[in-house]
Amino acid sequence: MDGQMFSVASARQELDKGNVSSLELTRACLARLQAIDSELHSCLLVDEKGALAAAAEADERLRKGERGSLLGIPYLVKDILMTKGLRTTAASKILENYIAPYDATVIRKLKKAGAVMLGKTNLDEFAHGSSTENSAFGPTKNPWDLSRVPGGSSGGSAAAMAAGLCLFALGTDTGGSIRQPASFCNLVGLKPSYGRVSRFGLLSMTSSTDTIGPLTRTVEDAAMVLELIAGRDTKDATTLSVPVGDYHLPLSQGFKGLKIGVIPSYFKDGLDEGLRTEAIRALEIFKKEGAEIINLDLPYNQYSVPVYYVITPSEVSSNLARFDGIGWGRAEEGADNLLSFYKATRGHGFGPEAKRRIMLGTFALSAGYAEAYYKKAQAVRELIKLDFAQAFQKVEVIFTPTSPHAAFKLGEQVNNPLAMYLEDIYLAGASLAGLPAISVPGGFTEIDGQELPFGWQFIGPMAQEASVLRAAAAWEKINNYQERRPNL
Amino acid sequence: MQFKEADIAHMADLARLELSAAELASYGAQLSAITAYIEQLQKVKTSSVALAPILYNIWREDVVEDWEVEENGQALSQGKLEQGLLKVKRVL
Repeated sequence: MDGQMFSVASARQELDKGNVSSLELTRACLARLQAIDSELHSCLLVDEKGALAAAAEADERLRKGERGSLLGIPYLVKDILMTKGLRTTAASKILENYIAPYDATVIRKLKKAGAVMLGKTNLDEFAHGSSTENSAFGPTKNPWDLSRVPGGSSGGSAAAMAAGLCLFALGTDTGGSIRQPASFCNLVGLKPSYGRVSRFGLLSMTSSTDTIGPLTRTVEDAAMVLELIAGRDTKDATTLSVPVGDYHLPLSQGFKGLKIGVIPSYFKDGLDEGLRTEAIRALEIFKKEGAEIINLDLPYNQYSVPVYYVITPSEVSSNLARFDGIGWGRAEEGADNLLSFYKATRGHGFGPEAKRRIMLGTFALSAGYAEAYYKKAQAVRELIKLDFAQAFQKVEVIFTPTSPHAAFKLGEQVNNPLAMYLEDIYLAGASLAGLPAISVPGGFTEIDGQELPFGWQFIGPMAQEASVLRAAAAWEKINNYQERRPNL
Repeated sequence: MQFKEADIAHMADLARLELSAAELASYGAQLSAITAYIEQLQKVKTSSVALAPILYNIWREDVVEDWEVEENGQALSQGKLEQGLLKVKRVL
Protein backbone atom coordinates (compact mmCIF):
# COMPACT_ATOMS: atom_id res chain seq x y z
CA MET A 1 0.00 0.00 0.00
CA ASP A 2 1.29 3.49 -0.67
CA GLY A 3 0.10 7.02 -1.36
CA GLN A 4 -0.21 6.20 -5.04
CA MET A 5 -3.11 3.86 -4.39
CA PHE A 6 -5.45 6.49 -3.05
CA SER A 7 -6.85 9.85 -3.94
CA VAL A 8 -7.96 12.00 -1.01
CA ALA A 9 -11.59 11.22 -1.88
CA SER A 10 -11.11 7.46 -2.02
CA ALA A 11 -8.98 7.43 1.15
CA ARG A 12 -11.76 9.41 2.83
CA GLN A 13 -14.25 6.66 2.01
CA GLU A 14 -11.97 3.88 3.19
CA LEU A 15 -11.11 5.72 6.41
CA ASP A 16 -14.75 6.46 7.19
CA LYS A 17 -15.72 2.83 6.58
CA GLY A 18 -12.88 1.65 8.80
CA ASN A 19 -11.20 -0.31 5.99
CA VAL A 20 -7.94 1.52 6.52
CA SER A 21 -6.56 3.61 9.37
CA SER A 22 -4.74 6.91 9.24
CA LEU A 23 -1.76 5.19 10.87
CA GLU A 24 -1.63 2.65 8.05
CA LEU A 25 -1.81 5.36 5.40
CA THR A 26 0.79 7.46 7.20
CA ARG A 27 3.16 4.53 7.71
CA ALA A 28 2.81 3.58 4.05
CA CYS A 29 3.71 7.13 2.96
CA LEU A 30 6.66 7.30 5.37
CA ALA A 31 7.94 3.92 4.20
CA ARG A 32 7.74 4.95 0.57
CA LEU A 33 9.48 8.23 1.42
CA GLN A 34 12.30 6.36 3.07
CA ALA A 35 12.57 3.96 0.15
CA ILE A 36 12.71 6.42 -2.73
CA ASP A 37 13.21 10.01 -1.63
CA SER A 38 16.99 9.73 -1.54
CA GLU A 39 16.64 9.39 -5.31
CA LEU A 40 14.17 12.29 -5.74
CA HIS A 41 15.17 14.65 -2.96
CA SER A 42 11.65 16.05 -2.72
CA CYS A 43 11.65 16.52 1.06
CA LEU A 44 13.83 18.77 3.21
CA LEU A 45 12.38 17.48 6.47
CA VAL A 46 10.34 14.45 7.46
CA ASP A 47 8.57 14.67 10.83
CA GLU A 48 8.00 10.98 11.47
CA LYS A 49 7.27 11.38 15.17
CA GLY A 50 4.80 14.22 14.64
CA ALA A 51 3.11 12.46 11.75
CA LEU A 52 2.59 9.22 13.65
CA ALA A 53 1.20 11.12 16.64
CA ALA A 54 -1.17 13.10 14.41
CA ALA A 55 -2.28 9.89 12.67
CA ALA A 56 -2.97 8.16 15.98
CA GLU A 57 -5.00 11.15 17.11
CA ALA A 58 -6.92 11.18 13.82
CA ASP A 59 -7.72 7.48 14.22
CA GLU A 60 -9.01 8.19 17.73
CA ARG A 61 -11.26 10.96 16.41
CA LEU A 62 -12.55 8.64 13.67
CA ARG A 63 -13.21 5.89 16.21
CA LYS A 64 -15.30 8.32 18.24
CA GLY A 65 -17.46 8.89 15.18
CA GLU A 66 -16.06 12.21 14.03
CA ARG A 67 -16.08 12.78 10.29
CA GLY A 68 -14.28 15.45 8.23
CA SER A 69 -13.02 15.79 4.68
CA LEU A 70 -9.31 15.71 5.51
CA LEU A 71 -9.36 13.87 8.86
CA GLY A 72 -6.47 11.41 8.87
CA ILE A 73 -5.15 12.29 5.41
CA PRO A 74 -1.31 12.50 5.11
CA TYR A 75 0.13 15.52 3.28
CA LEU A 76 3.36 17.44 2.66
CA VAL A 77 3.98 21.19 2.86
CA LYS A 78 6.25 23.40 0.78
CA ASP A 79 8.99 24.61 3.14
CA ILE A 80 7.95 28.25 2.83
CA LEU A 81 5.07 27.93 5.27
CA MET A 82 5.54 28.25 9.03
CA THR A 83 5.07 24.96 10.88
CA LYS A 84 5.37 25.43 14.61
CA GLY A 85 8.34 23.75 16.26
CA LEU A 86 9.70 22.52 12.93
CA ARG A 87 12.56 23.82 10.85
CA THR A 88 11.31 26.21 8.14
CA THR A 89 13.99 27.22 5.68
CA ALA A 90 12.46 28.54 2.44
CA ALA A 91 15.27 26.36 0.98
CA SER A 92 17.73 29.09 1.94
CA LYS A 93 20.98 28.97 3.90
CA ILE A 94 19.88 32.14 5.63
CA LEU A 95 17.17 30.12 7.43
CA GLU A 96 19.02 26.82 7.54
CA ASN A 97 18.40 26.30 11.26
CA TYR A 98 15.32 28.44 11.79
CA ILE A 99 12.55 26.90 13.86
CA ALA A 100 9.08 28.33 13.15
CA PRO A 101 7.56 29.75 16.36
CA TYR A 102 3.99 29.48 15.09
CA ASP A 103 1.80 27.76 12.53
CA ALA A 104 0.65 29.42 9.34
CA THR A 105 -3.14 29.79 9.22
CA VAL A 106 -3.46 27.07 6.56
CA ILE A 107 -1.43 24.72 8.76
CA ARG A 108 -3.53 25.57 11.80
CA LYS A 109 -6.69 24.84 9.78
CA LEU A 110 -5.34 21.53 8.51
CA LYS A 111 -4.23 20.49 12.02
CA LYS A 112 -7.67 21.32 13.41
CA ALA A 113 -9.23 19.24 10.62
CA GLY A 114 -7.02 16.30 11.59
CA ALA A 115 -4.89 16.11 8.45
CA VAL A 116 -1.50 14.47 9.04
CA MET A 117 1.57 16.54 8.12
CA LEU A 118 4.45 14.32 7.03
CA GLY A 119 7.08 17.00 6.50
CA LYS A 120 8.36 19.91 4.39
CA THR A 121 9.21 19.86 0.72
CA ASN A 122 11.97 21.37 -1.38
CA LEU A 123 11.54 24.55 -3.40
CA ASP A 124 13.49 27.18 -5.28
CA GLU A 125 15.01 29.40 -2.60
CA PHE A 126 12.32 31.81 -1.33
CA ALA A 127 10.15 30.61 -4.24
CA HIS A 128 12.42 32.29 -6.78
CA GLY A 129 12.44 30.04 -9.77
CA SER A 130 10.72 27.62 -12.11
CA SER A 131 12.71 24.43 -11.64
CA THR A 132 13.62 23.93 -7.93
CA GLU A 133 17.28 24.15 -9.03
CA ASN A 134 17.65 27.34 -7.00
CA SER A 135 17.26 25.47 -3.72
CA ALA A 136 20.27 25.97 -1.46
CA PHE A 137 19.99 22.31 -0.50
CA GLY A 138 20.13 20.69 -3.93
CA PRO A 139 17.58 20.17 -6.70
CA THR A 140 14.63 17.77 -6.80
CA LYS A 141 14.17 15.29 -9.64
CA ASN A 142 11.10 14.65 -11.73
CA PRO A 143 9.72 11.15 -11.01
CA TRP A 144 8.71 10.83 -14.69
CA ASP A 145 12.35 11.27 -15.80
CA LEU A 146 15.06 11.60 -13.18
CA SER A 147 17.28 13.64 -15.50
CA ARG A 148 14.63 16.37 -15.66
CA VAL A 149 13.31 19.03 -13.33
CA PRO A 150 9.93 18.69 -11.60
CA GLY A 151 9.31 22.38 -12.25
CA GLY A 152 9.26 25.13 -9.65
CA SER A 153 9.14 26.71 -7.36
CA SER A 154 6.89 24.06 -5.72
CA GLY A 155 8.96 21.25 -7.27
CA GLY A 156 9.39 19.25 -4.07
CA SER A 157 5.64 19.12 -3.44
CA ALA A 158 4.99 18.14 -7.06
CA ALA A 159 7.65 15.42 -7.17
CA ALA A 160 6.49 13.97 -3.85
CA MET A 161 2.85 13.91 -5.01
CA ALA A 162 3.70 12.34 -8.36
CA ALA A 163 5.77 9.66 -6.61
CA GLY A 164 2.96 8.80 -4.19
CA LEU A 165 4.75 10.01 -1.04
CA CYS A 166 1.59 11.73 0.26
CA LEU A 167 -2.08 12.12 -0.65
CA PHE A 168 -1.97 15.85 -1.25
CA ALA A 169 0.64 18.57 -1.03
CA LEU A 170 0.57 22.30 -0.45
CA GLY A 171 2.45 24.62 -2.76
CA THR A 172 2.53 28.34 -3.36
CA ASP A 173 1.95 30.13 -6.64
CA THR A 174 3.20 33.65 -7.18
CA GLY A 175 3.84 33.52 -10.93
CA GLY A 176 3.05 29.90 -11.77
CA SER A 177 4.79 27.95 -9.06
CA ILE A 178 1.94 25.48 -8.43
CA ARG A 179 0.64 25.26 -11.98
CA GLN A 180 3.90 24.68 -13.83
CA PRO A 181 5.19 21.87 -11.57
CA ALA A 182 1.72 20.29 -11.77
CA SER A 183 2.06 20.36 -15.56
CA PHE A 184 5.55 18.81 -15.46
CA CYS A 185 4.43 16.06 -13.06
CA ASN A 186 0.95 15.00 -14.29
CA LEU A 187 -0.91 16.58 -11.40
CA VAL A 188 -3.74 18.96 -10.71
CA GLY A 189 -2.35 22.27 -9.44
CA LEU A 190 -4.74 24.97 -8.29
CA LYS A 191 -3.80 28.61 -7.80
CA PRO A 192 -6.71 30.20 -5.94
CA SER A 193 -7.72 33.84 -6.39
CA TYR A 194 -5.47 36.28 -4.57
CA GLY A 195 -6.89 36.60 -1.06
CA ARG A 196 -8.93 33.38 -1.21
CA VAL A 197 -6.49 31.63 1.16
CA SER A 198 -4.81 33.38 4.10
CA ARG A 199 -1.13 34.22 3.67
CA PHE A 200 -0.53 34.49 7.42
CA GLY A 201 2.54 32.38 8.12
CA LEU A 202 3.66 32.30 4.49
CA LEU A 203 7.18 33.68 4.12
CA SER A 204 6.38 36.58 1.83
CA MET A 205 7.85 36.70 -1.63
CA THR A 206 5.69 38.97 -3.81
CA SER A 207 3.06 40.25 -1.43
CA SER A 208 0.67 41.34 -4.17
CA THR A 209 0.56 37.99 -6.00
CA ASP A 210 1.50 35.25 -3.46
CA THR A 211 -1.11 32.49 -3.11
CA ILE A 212 -1.21 29.08 -1.39
CA GLY A 213 -2.88 26.11 -3.07
CA PRO A 214 -3.06 22.33 -3.44
CA LEU A 215 -1.22 19.88 -5.69
CA THR A 216 -3.32 16.73 -6.01
CA ARG A 217 -3.97 13.74 -8.21
CA THR A 218 -7.57 14.69 -9.05
CA VAL A 219 -9.68 17.82 -9.41
CA GLU A 220 -12.06 16.60 -6.70
CA ASP A 221 -9.13 16.32 -4.27
CA ALA A 222 -8.08 19.89 -5.08
CA ALA A 223 -11.64 21.06 -4.38
CA MET A 224 -11.64 19.23 -1.03
CA VAL A 225 -8.38 20.86 0.07
CA LEU A 226 -9.36 24.32 -1.20
CA GLU A 227 -12.67 24.17 0.66
CA LEU A 228 -10.79 23.64 3.91
CA ILE A 229 -7.96 26.16 3.54
CA ALA A 230 -9.98 28.99 1.97
CA GLY A 231 -11.64 31.78 3.90
CA ARG A 232 -11.38 35.13 5.59
CA ASP A 233 -8.64 35.52 8.20
CA THR A 234 -8.33 38.50 10.55
CA LYS A 235 -4.57 37.89 10.53
CA ASP A 236 -4.39 38.56 6.76
CA ALA A 237 -6.17 41.75 5.80
CA THR A 238 -5.93 40.88 2.10
CA THR A 239 -8.20 37.85 2.44
CA LEU A 240 -11.48 38.10 0.54
CA SER A 241 -14.72 38.83 2.33
CA VAL A 242 -16.59 37.02 -0.48
CA PRO A 243 -17.82 33.74 1.03
CA VAL A 244 -16.06 30.49 0.10
CA GLY A 245 -17.84 28.95 -2.90
CA ASP A 246 -19.41 25.55 -3.45
CA TYR A 247 -16.55 23.59 -4.97
CA HIS A 248 -18.40 20.27 -5.32
CA LEU A 249 -21.25 21.23 -7.62
CA PRO A 250 -18.96 22.35 -10.48
CA LEU A 251 -17.23 18.94 -10.54
CA SER A 252 -20.24 17.38 -12.27
CA GLN A 253 -21.34 20.25 -14.51
CA GLY A 254 -19.39 19.20 -17.59
CA PHE A 255 -18.56 21.16 -20.75
CA LYS A 256 -22.09 21.62 -22.09
CA GLY A 257 -22.83 25.30 -22.54
CA LEU A 258 -19.48 26.39 -21.08
CA LYS A 259 -18.02 29.42 -22.85
CA ILE A 260 -14.28 28.84 -23.23
CA GLY A 261 -12.03 31.70 -24.35
CA VAL A 262 -9.00 30.98 -26.51
CA ILE A 263 -6.24 33.40 -27.51
CA PRO A 264 -5.04 32.18 -30.92
CA SER A 265 -1.59 33.80 -30.62
CA TYR A 266 -0.88 31.67 -27.52
CA PHE A 267 -0.90 28.57 -29.69
CA LYS A 268 1.66 29.79 -32.21
CA ASP A 269 5.27 30.86 -31.67
CA GLY A 270 7.17 29.38 -28.82
CA LEU A 271 4.72 26.54 -28.11
CA ASP A 272 6.18 23.07 -28.59
CA GLU A 273 4.88 21.42 -31.81
CA GLY A 274 3.59 18.33 -30.05
CA LEU A 275 1.69 20.44 -27.55
CA ARG A 276 0.13 22.55 -30.30
CA THR A 277 -1.24 19.41 -31.97
CA GLU A 278 -2.63 18.24 -28.64
CA ALA A 279 -4.18 21.66 -27.98
CA ILE A 280 -6.06 21.59 -31.28
CA ARG A 281 -7.29 18.09 -30.41
CA ALA A 282 -8.39 19.30 -26.95
CA LEU A 283 -10.38 22.17 -28.45
CA GLU A 284 -12.18 19.71 -30.74
CA ILE A 285 -13.05 17.62 -27.71
CA PHE A 286 -14.38 20.65 -25.80
CA LYS A 287 -16.60 21.49 -28.77
CA LYS A 288 -17.80 17.91 -29.15
CA GLU A 289 -18.78 17.92 -25.47
CA GLY A 290 -20.89 21.00 -25.94
CA ALA A 291 -18.61 23.87 -25.00
CA GLU A 292 -18.60 27.08 -27.02
CA ILE A 293 -15.14 28.20 -28.09
CA ILE A 294 -14.75 31.97 -28.40
CA ASN A 295 -11.64 33.57 -29.84
CA LEU A 296 -10.27 36.43 -27.76
CA ASP A 297 -7.37 38.75 -27.59
CA LEU A 298 -5.63 39.92 -24.42
CA PRO A 299 -3.51 42.61 -26.10
CA TYR A 300 -1.60 43.71 -23.01
CA ASN A 301 -0.87 40.18 -21.81
CA GLN A 302 2.28 40.12 -23.94
CA TYR A 303 3.71 42.43 -21.28
CA SER A 304 2.83 40.23 -18.34
CA VAL A 305 6.29 38.67 -18.03
CA PRO A 306 8.24 41.96 -18.06
CA VAL A 307 5.67 43.50 -15.69
CA TYR A 308 6.01 40.49 -13.42
CA TYR A 309 9.80 40.77 -13.48
CA VAL A 310 9.68 44.36 -12.30
CA ILE A 311 7.00 43.98 -9.64
CA THR A 312 8.25 40.67 -8.25
CA PRO A 313 11.87 41.67 -7.55
CA SER A 314 10.69 45.03 -6.18
CA GLU A 315 8.42 43.40 -3.63
CA VAL A 316 11.01 40.70 -2.98
CA SER A 317 13.67 43.31 -2.21
CA SER A 318 11.34 44.75 0.39
CA ASN A 319 10.25 41.42 1.87
CA LEU A 320 13.74 39.98 2.14
CA ALA A 321 15.03 43.08 3.93
CA ARG A 322 13.91 41.51 7.21
CA PHE A 323 16.66 38.90 6.96
CA ASP A 324 19.33 40.92 8.69
CA GLY A 325 20.80 38.32 11.03
CA ILE A 326 19.29 39.91 14.12
CA GLY A 327 16.67 37.93 15.96
CA TRP A 328 16.37 35.05 13.51
CA GLY A 329 18.21 33.24 10.81
CA ARG A 330 21.83 33.14 9.90
CA ALA A 331 24.11 35.59 11.65
CA GLU A 332 27.61 36.10 10.32
CA GLU A 333 30.44 35.75 12.82
CA GLY A 334 33.39 38.07 12.82
CA ALA A 335 31.87 41.25 11.47
CA ASP A 336 32.79 44.16 13.71
CA ASN A 337 30.15 46.71 12.80
CA LEU A 338 26.49 46.63 11.81
CA LEU A 339 26.88 47.45 8.12
CA SER A 340 29.49 44.78 7.39
CA PHE A 341 27.47 42.36 9.54
CA TYR A 342 24.37 42.94 7.36
CA LYS A 343 26.32 42.60 4.13
CA ALA A 344 28.14 39.45 5.11
CA THR A 345 25.07 37.75 6.62
CA ARG A 346 22.96 38.45 3.56
CA GLY A 347 25.70 38.09 0.98
CA HIS A 348 26.63 34.63 2.24
CA GLY A 349 23.16 33.54 3.33
CA PHE A 350 21.22 34.24 0.12
CA GLY A 351 21.69 32.27 -3.09
CA PRO A 352 22.41 33.85 -6.49
CA GLU A 353 18.81 34.13 -7.70
CA ALA A 354 17.64 35.69 -4.43
CA LYS A 355 20.48 38.21 -4.65
CA ARG A 356 19.74 38.94 -8.31
CA ARG A 357 16.12 39.68 -7.51
CA ILE A 358 16.95 41.78 -4.47
CA MET A 359 19.29 43.92 -6.56
CA LEU A 360 16.89 44.20 -9.47
CA GLY A 361 14.16 45.25 -7.07
CA THR A 362 16.41 47.69 -5.26
CA PHE A 363 17.23 49.25 -8.62
CA ALA A 364 13.60 49.36 -9.80
CA LEU A 365 12.52 51.11 -6.61
CA SER A 366 15.46 53.45 -6.26
CA ALA A 367 15.32 57.22 -6.57
CA GLY A 368 15.43 58.26 -10.20
CA TYR A 369 14.20 54.87 -11.46
CA ALA A 370 11.06 54.06 -9.44
CA GLU A 371 8.85 56.16 -11.72
CA ALA A 372 10.15 54.60 -14.94
CA TYR A 373 10.28 51.01 -13.69
CA TYR A 374 8.06 50.15 -10.76
CA LYS A 375 5.28 52.67 -11.28
CA LYS A 376 5.26 52.02 -15.02
CA ALA A 377 4.95 48.29 -14.41
CA GLN A 378 2.05 48.84 -11.99
CA ALA A 379 0.26 50.95 -14.61
CA VAL A 380 0.70 48.28 -17.30
CA ARG A 381 -0.54 45.76 -14.74
CA GLU A 382 -3.84 47.68 -14.55
CA LEU A 383 -4.16 47.33 -18.32
CA ILE A 384 -3.54 43.58 -18.08
CA LYS A 385 -6.25 43.30 -15.40
CA LEU A 386 -8.66 45.22 -17.64
CA ASP A 387 -7.98 42.82 -20.54
CA PHE A 388 -9.06 39.90 -18.36
CA ALA A 389 -12.10 41.74 -16.98
CA GLN A 390 -13.27 42.49 -20.52
CA ALA A 391 -12.62 38.90 -21.62
CA PHE A 392 -14.68 37.52 -18.76
CA GLN A 393 -17.69 39.47 -19.93
CA LYS A 394 -17.70 37.15 -22.94
CA VAL A 395 -16.42 33.85 -21.55
CA GLU A 396 -16.45 31.86 -18.30
CA VAL A 397 -12.94 30.42 -18.52
CA ILE A 398 -9.84 30.98 -20.64
CA PHE A 399 -7.93 27.94 -21.95
CA THR A 400 -4.13 28.01 -22.46
CA PRO A 401 -1.26 25.57 -22.24
CA THR A 402 0.31 25.70 -18.76
CA SER A 403 3.84 25.65 -20.14
CA PRO A 404 5.28 26.02 -23.67
CA HIS A 405 6.94 22.63 -23.25
CA ALA A 406 7.26 19.57 -21.01
CA ALA A 407 9.88 19.31 -18.25
CA PHE A 408 13.37 20.39 -19.32
CA LYS A 409 16.62 18.75 -18.24
CA LEU A 410 18.41 19.59 -14.98
CA GLY A 411 21.06 22.22 -15.67
CA GLU A 412 19.62 23.16 -19.06
CA GLN A 413 18.57 26.71 -18.10
CA VAL A 414 20.63 27.37 -15.02
CA ASN A 415 23.01 29.94 -16.52
CA ASN A 416 20.35 31.92 -18.30
CA PRO A 417 17.98 33.62 -15.86
CA LEU A 418 16.13 35.31 -18.70
CA ALA A 419 15.29 31.96 -20.34
CA MET A 420 14.01 30.79 -16.98
CA TYR A 421 11.77 33.85 -16.71
CA LEU A 422 10.10 33.01 -20.04
CA GLU A 423 8.76 29.83 -18.46
CA ASP A 424 6.10 32.10 -16.99
CA ILE A 425 4.63 33.24 -20.27
CA TYR A 426 1.19 31.65 -19.85
CA LEU A 427 1.20 31.95 -16.09
CA ALA A 428 2.12 35.49 -15.07
CA GLY A 429 -1.08 37.16 -16.32
CA ALA A 430 -3.42 35.35 -13.91
CA SER A 431 -1.02 36.09 -11.05
CA LEU A 432 -0.86 39.81 -11.79
CA ALA A 433 -4.65 40.01 -12.05
CA GLY A 434 -5.18 37.88 -8.92
CA LEU A 435 -7.35 35.38 -10.80
CA PRO A 436 -7.93 31.70 -10.02
CA ALA A 437 -6.20 29.29 -12.38
CA ILE A 438 -5.78 25.54 -12.54
CA SER A 439 -3.46 23.18 -14.37
CA VAL A 440 -4.96 19.78 -15.13
CA PRO A 441 -3.15 16.79 -16.73
CA GLY A 442 -3.47 17.33 -20.49
CA GLY A 443 -1.70 14.25 -21.72
CA PHE A 444 1.76 12.98 -22.56
CA THR A 445 4.25 14.00 -25.21
CA GLU A 446 7.30 12.07 -26.37
CA ILE A 447 10.73 13.69 -26.07
CA ASP A 448 13.97 11.72 -26.62
CA GLY A 449 12.07 8.46 -26.34
CA GLN A 450 10.56 9.50 -22.99
CA GLU A 451 6.87 10.06 -22.38
CA LEU A 452 6.52 13.29 -20.43
CA PRO A 453 3.34 14.81 -19.01
CA PHE A 454 2.02 18.27 -19.81
CA GLY A 455 -0.93 20.27 -18.44
CA TRP A 456 -3.71 22.50 -19.65
CA GLN A 457 -4.53 25.70 -17.84
CA PHE A 458 -7.95 27.17 -17.22
CA ILE A 459 -8.16 30.73 -15.86
CA GLY A 460 -11.34 32.07 -14.29
CA PRO A 461 -12.78 35.38 -13.09
CA MET A 462 -11.96 36.73 -9.65
CA ALA A 463 -13.26 34.45 -6.83
CA GLN A 464 -14.77 32.04 -9.37
CA GLU A 465 -12.76 28.95 -8.49
CA ALA A 466 -15.92 27.00 -9.36
CA SER A 467 -15.50 27.90 -13.05
CA VAL A 468 -11.96 26.55 -13.34
CA LEU A 469 -12.82 23.47 -11.27
CA ARG A 470 -15.75 22.81 -13.61
CA ALA A 471 -13.64 22.93 -16.77
CA ALA A 472 -10.80 20.91 -15.27
CA ALA A 473 -13.16 18.23 -13.91
CA ALA A 474 -14.99 18.00 -17.23
CA TRP A 475 -11.68 17.38 -19.05
CA GLU A 476 -10.47 14.92 -16.42
CA LYS A 477 -13.63 12.82 -16.74
CA ILE A 478 -12.96 12.27 -20.44
CA ASN A 479 -9.29 11.39 -20.16
CA ASN A 480 -8.16 9.76 -16.90
CA TYR A 481 -4.51 10.81 -17.30
CA GLN A 482 -4.32 10.89 -13.50
CA GLU A 483 -4.40 7.07 -13.52
CA ARG A 484 -0.90 6.88 -14.99
CA ARG A 485 2.05 6.42 -12.66
CA PRO A 486 5.76 7.08 -13.15
CA ASN A 487 8.07 4.02 -13.12
CA LEU A 488 9.89 4.23 -9.82
CA MET B 1 20.08 49.79 -19.14
CA GLN B 2 23.69 48.70 -19.25
CA PHE B 3 25.11 48.21 -15.77
CA LYS B 4 28.79 48.75 -15.09
CA GLU B 5 30.51 47.05 -12.17
CA ALA B 6 30.28 50.29 -10.19
CA ASP B 7 26.48 50.32 -10.64
CA ILE B 8 26.21 46.72 -9.42
CA ALA B 9 28.45 47.51 -6.46
CA HIS B 10 26.22 50.49 -5.59
CA MET B 11 23.00 48.40 -5.79
CA ALA B 12 24.61 45.71 -3.66
CA ASP B 13 25.53 48.34 -1.13
CA LEU B 14 21.96 49.69 -1.00
CA ALA B 15 20.63 46.14 -0.63
CA ARG B 16 23.16 45.34 2.09
CA LEU B 17 24.64 42.46 0.11
CA GLU B 18 28.31 41.53 0.05
CA LEU B 19 29.26 40.22 -3.40
CA SER B 20 32.35 38.32 -4.45
CA ALA B 21 34.44 39.52 -7.42
CA ALA B 22 32.98 36.74 -9.59
CA GLU B 23 29.43 37.74 -8.63
CA LEU B 24 30.10 41.41 -9.37
CA ALA B 25 31.28 40.42 -12.82
CA SER B 26 28.44 38.03 -13.73
CA TYR B 27 25.53 39.99 -12.26
CA GLY B 28 26.33 42.99 -14.41
CA ALA B 29 25.69 41.11 -17.64
CA GLN B 30 22.65 39.25 -16.29
CA LEU B 31 20.94 42.30 -14.82
CA SER B 32 21.65 44.29 -17.97
CA ALA B 33 19.98 41.59 -20.06
CA ILE B 34 16.97 41.49 -17.76
CA THR B 35 16.49 45.27 -17.71
CA ALA B 36 16.89 45.34 -21.50
CA TYR B 37 13.99 42.90 -21.68
CA ILE B 38 11.95 45.04 -19.27
CA GLU B 39 12.57 48.19 -21.35
CA GLN B 40 9.70 47.19 -23.69
CA LEU B 41 7.29 48.46 -21.01
CA GLN B 42 8.37 52.01 -21.88
CA LYS B 43 6.55 51.65 -25.20
CA VAL B 44 3.19 51.01 -23.54
CA LYS B 45 0.89 54.01 -23.38
CA THR B 46 -0.37 54.28 -19.84
CA SER B 47 -1.47 57.90 -19.74
CA SER B 48 -5.17 56.94 -19.77
CA VAL B 49 -4.83 54.79 -16.68
CA ALA B 50 -4.59 55.83 -13.04
CA LEU B 51 -0.95 55.28 -12.22
CA ALA B 52 -1.62 53.09 -9.23
CA PRO B 53 -3.98 50.23 -8.40
CA ILE B 54 -7.06 51.15 -6.39
CA LEU B 55 -6.43 50.16 -2.79
CA TYR B 56 -8.81 49.93 0.15
CA ASN B 57 -8.07 50.19 3.85
CA ILE B 58 -9.16 47.20 5.90
CA TRP B 59 -9.85 48.18 9.50
CA ARG B 60 -9.85 46.37 12.78
CA GLU B 61 -10.37 47.47 16.38
CA ASP B 62 -7.29 48.97 17.97
CA VAL B 63 -7.05 46.26 20.61
CA VAL B 64 -3.81 44.63 21.73
CA GLU B 65 -3.72 40.84 21.42
CA ASP B 66 -0.88 39.36 23.41
CA TRP B 67 1.18 36.54 22.00
CA GLU B 68 1.23 33.30 23.95
CA VAL B 69 4.23 33.40 26.30
CA GLU B 70 5.57 30.13 24.91
CA GLU B 71 5.35 31.28 21.28
CA ASN B 72 6.89 34.60 22.21
CA GLY B 73 9.75 32.82 23.94
CA GLN B 74 10.26 30.55 20.95
CA ALA B 75 10.31 33.53 18.59
CA LEU B 76 12.90 35.42 20.62
CA SER B 77 15.07 32.44 21.42
CA GLN B 78 16.74 32.38 18.03
CA GLY B 79 18.53 35.71 18.29
CA LYS B 80 21.33 36.78 20.56
CA LEU B 81 19.70 37.94 23.77
CA GLU B 82 21.10 39.73 26.78
CA GLN B 83 18.90 40.61 29.74
CA GLY B 84 15.77 40.28 27.61
CA LEU B 85 17.13 42.55 24.89
CA LEU B 86 18.31 41.66 21.37
CA LYS B 87 22.00 42.28 20.85
CA VAL B 88 23.12 44.09 17.71
CA LYS B 89 26.51 45.01 16.37
CA ARG B 90 28.16 48.31 17.00
CA VAL B 91 26.35 50.91 14.88
CA LEU B 92 28.75 53.80 15.07
